[in-house]
Amino acid sequence: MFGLTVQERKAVVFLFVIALSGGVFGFAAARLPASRAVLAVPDDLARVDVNSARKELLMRVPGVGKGLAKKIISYRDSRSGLTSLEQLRNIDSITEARFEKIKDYLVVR
Amino acid sequence: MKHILFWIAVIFSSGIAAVGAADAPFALLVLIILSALLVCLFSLKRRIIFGASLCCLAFFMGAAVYKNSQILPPDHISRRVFSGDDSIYLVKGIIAEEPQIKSKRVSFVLNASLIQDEEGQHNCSGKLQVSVKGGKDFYYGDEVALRGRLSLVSDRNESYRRYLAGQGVYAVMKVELDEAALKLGTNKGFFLKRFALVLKEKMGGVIDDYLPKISAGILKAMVLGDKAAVAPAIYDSMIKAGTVHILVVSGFNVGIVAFVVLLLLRALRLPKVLRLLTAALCLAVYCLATGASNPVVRATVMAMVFILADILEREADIYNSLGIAALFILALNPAQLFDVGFQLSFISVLAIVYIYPKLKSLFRLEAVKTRWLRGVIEGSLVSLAAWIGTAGFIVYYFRIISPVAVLANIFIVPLAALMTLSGFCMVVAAAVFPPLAQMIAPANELLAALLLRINFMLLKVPGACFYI
Repeated sequence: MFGLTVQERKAVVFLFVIALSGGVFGFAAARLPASRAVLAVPDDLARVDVNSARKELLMRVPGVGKGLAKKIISYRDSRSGLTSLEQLRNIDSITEARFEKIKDYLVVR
Repeated sequence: MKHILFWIAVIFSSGIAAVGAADAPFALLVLIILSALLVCLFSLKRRIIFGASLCCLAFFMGAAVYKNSQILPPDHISRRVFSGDDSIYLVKGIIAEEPQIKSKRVSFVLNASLIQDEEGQHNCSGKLQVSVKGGKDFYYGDEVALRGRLSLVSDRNESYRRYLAGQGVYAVMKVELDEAALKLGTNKGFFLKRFALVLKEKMGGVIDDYLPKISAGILKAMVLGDKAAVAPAIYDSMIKAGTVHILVVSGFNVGIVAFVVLLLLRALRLPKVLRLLTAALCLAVYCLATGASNPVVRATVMAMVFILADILEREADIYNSLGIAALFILALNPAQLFDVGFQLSFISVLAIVYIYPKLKSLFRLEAVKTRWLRGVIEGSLVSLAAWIGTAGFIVYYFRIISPVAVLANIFIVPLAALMTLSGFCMVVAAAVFPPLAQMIAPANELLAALLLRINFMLLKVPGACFYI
């Protein structure tokens, strides 16, 4: 086909396949909102699980330093895990402003 | 001797490690090197003596190169800084690496040329790790003047100190006021690297335009080596699953760039040698664009060896190409031998090259007639070989054991490969025919979703990973 090697033909076919499948997925995501649950990356996968995160990972959340990370771990261990992010408000270092800042980076699993 | 360059690289590395462990006078090392060189010259026809003196030469060359790299010039900037120093200094220099923005601070490595302190102005040399408050528009190659506090790298964080020392950085500077950082000039760095970074910024912009934040972050890490955009929770989950290597630009990416460039040049009917040389240049640009980390430099040098072999119509030996890559990196910066990224990059390739054929014959794959099944098993054995080779290092450095890694890599590696391929297609299409890039983007999103879901799902398997 057009003097291409076998590898190059595979590359061209791959390009068509990826463009076609992308077109189909894009159409499905736009027309069927329910399909986004499968086709899109869930936001909470990018959030830090408060119940299992180590100190170093918690410290990577903007607004959480070493001291606060230790307090979060200590608080969750004392309650054998959290059931809701709202419970973080009970930690004395977490003001309303700080809670609003960090809550979008955290999740409770 | 088979794979001679590989063994020379091993012996050269041993010399570096030996001096790293036990100091030796530089003059003595030079004397031994000269003696070994003379013995080599006079024993060209005596195989054993020549071999022994060559090994000696390689060993002490490694030691001397490392020793030399540790000797700072008299005007090195760190010599003007003292532990506990809290003075304000004015420093002028050129930004040597791509600046990183994090938590409202810009960090970059500066090649210092002038320092002003209480005693006056002095010419100086050496690298400085700088952190500037505020979102300044600093780029690689900018000439800047900075006013701030200068200090030696703290002993409290030994691993960070060693990491910076490996980059040739022995002092840090903190600039707190926006007005204390001034841009004096631009475009002073290496022109090819400037071009590469501009290209990287454009490619990153394309990825951000076409994909949502999470999948864009993953694709930018895979294609451009920009791990800063990967969400910490995702990065952490991949470390636990033993799949974090997919976020590192390495041989696969380099192979894709070479393949795409050669494909396009072949369509233009260029002569073979010109095609190969152009591909080599593109690989060098890609290496610079992705930050020239150890894995990508290793892969680029190895690819260039294969390109050269193709031009010379010789057969390339993978062990020798690995040896050349190691010698290239260590000759430029011998301290890289102690860098975990360097060690993991070379050990993983060596493990795959050495252990995989043995696993293949152990499992008697030739008896499996079903093609797709043989492909799946081969992929699993490659993962197993890499895991066997790197497990000890990962336990030592990261204190983590991931039994799920072999299983995870069976699923994750092919998905990552597909995502890297389609990511490159999307970026190239965006420059040539944007509607095609728009069509490809949802496929990347789906691949990212599958990759992450499988990764997180496997971490839920009991005993998937544990810290020691």
